[in-house]
Amino acid sequence: MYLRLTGRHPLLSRNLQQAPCPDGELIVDAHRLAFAGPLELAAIVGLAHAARAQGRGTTLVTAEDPSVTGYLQRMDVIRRLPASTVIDGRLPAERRTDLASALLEVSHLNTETAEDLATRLGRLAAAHFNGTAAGKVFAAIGELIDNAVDHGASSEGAFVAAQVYTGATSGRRGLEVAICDTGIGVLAHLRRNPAHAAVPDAASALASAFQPGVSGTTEDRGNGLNDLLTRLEFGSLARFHLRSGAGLATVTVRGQWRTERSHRTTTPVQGTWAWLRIRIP
Amino acid sequence: MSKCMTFAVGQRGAFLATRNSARAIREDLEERIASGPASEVVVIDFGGVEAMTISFADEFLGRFYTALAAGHVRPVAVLLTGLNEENTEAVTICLQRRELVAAALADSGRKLLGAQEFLAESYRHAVQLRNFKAGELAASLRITPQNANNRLKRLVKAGAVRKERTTSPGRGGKEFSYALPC
Repeated sequence: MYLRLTGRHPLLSRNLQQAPCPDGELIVDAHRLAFAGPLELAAIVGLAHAARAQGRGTTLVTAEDPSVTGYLQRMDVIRRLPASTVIDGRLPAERRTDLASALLEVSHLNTETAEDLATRLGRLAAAHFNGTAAGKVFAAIGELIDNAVDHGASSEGAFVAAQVYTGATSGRRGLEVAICDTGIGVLAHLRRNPAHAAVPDAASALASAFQPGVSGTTEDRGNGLNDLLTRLEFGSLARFHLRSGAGLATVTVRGQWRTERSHRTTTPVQGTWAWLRIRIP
Repeated sequence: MSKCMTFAVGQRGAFLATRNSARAIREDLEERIASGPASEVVVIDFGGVEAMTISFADEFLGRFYTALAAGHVRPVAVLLTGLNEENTEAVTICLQRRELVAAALADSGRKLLGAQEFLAESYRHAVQLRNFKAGELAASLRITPQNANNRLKRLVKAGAVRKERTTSPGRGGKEFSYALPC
């Protein structure tokens, strides 16, 4: 697969710029990438590990803008790629300072690391949101972590990254978190439950997954995504994207007001990609 | 004085997210109740827990109280302490979904989480009475003894009050008294 990353936040687009690759390899072309957020970081690493699990190699074409490539490097994208990954392009000298209160580098999320990463993200939330809002922000992010570990399980696990934006350039302060797993995806997971075996496609599966009590298990569960959105009703504007298979769901939450949309996409992905942005008051 | 065991959840982390970790913590709690000294009261202390997901609360407390009510855990009185506002909300939501209740000690005093008003009111009267018989609760609530017994049955199943068999001089048959744990 050839995946082209251009402009700002390219993986938030409904359809990705991708094409088949003749030799089956994965090429992530970030040459024209102008701005990457946690979603791009976690997805690049997740895609490369999924490719390796299928016996395919990965080539990452670095961004022509050295600050973008430097950011990928600072956020441990290069470090977390499979060792066999070919890096096509220059890597700037790495400068590293401890920014634990502002970011979480791309990290491998599995049952062993989940609680440590939850603690890192909890501290991040507590550093930028007040009182009960911090607890609600963590509870929302925590549901994503639990979903990735519980439902997105695969031999490759999942990858998580987070970044606090000060708003110095955009004027919009916010916390962004992305978790990309390489599991079976929402549609296949939901169909495991006979009650949802007839869900027709990924977009429908994503729309259903936000409804309380809809689960891929036959247990009395399935509230995680709805709880995630309910936790975000404390007032700050929040945007949530959930991409899985050939579906993309987008949700905006501001206080009690919520809009949900789900779309079919022409560019399916393996596993599930979750991206959450919460405005910092 | 009842024998009391404290189970410190905060030692497991300040931010608790996953069902996996909740499962391990619940199994540890159930193991301690089963194999530990015959404690009559278990205090589940959330001091130091800054936040948790509803999924965590459900897998830990939702399933624990379900097992307690079903008699799969040795009957003990249970009191939740150290819950902050956000965690209280998470616990309340998971209890309401399972139609369970739990006694908690908050800054404002004892309260019954997840309960409908009639049961919460019964618990408030029980808190005032502290040690009482079913008839005394019925009188306090101005309800029938049968109704008071029904409510007490639910409170005992949730470990919110302790039930003890008592003997009363000059009277035969079974008689029970009720008391708040700790």
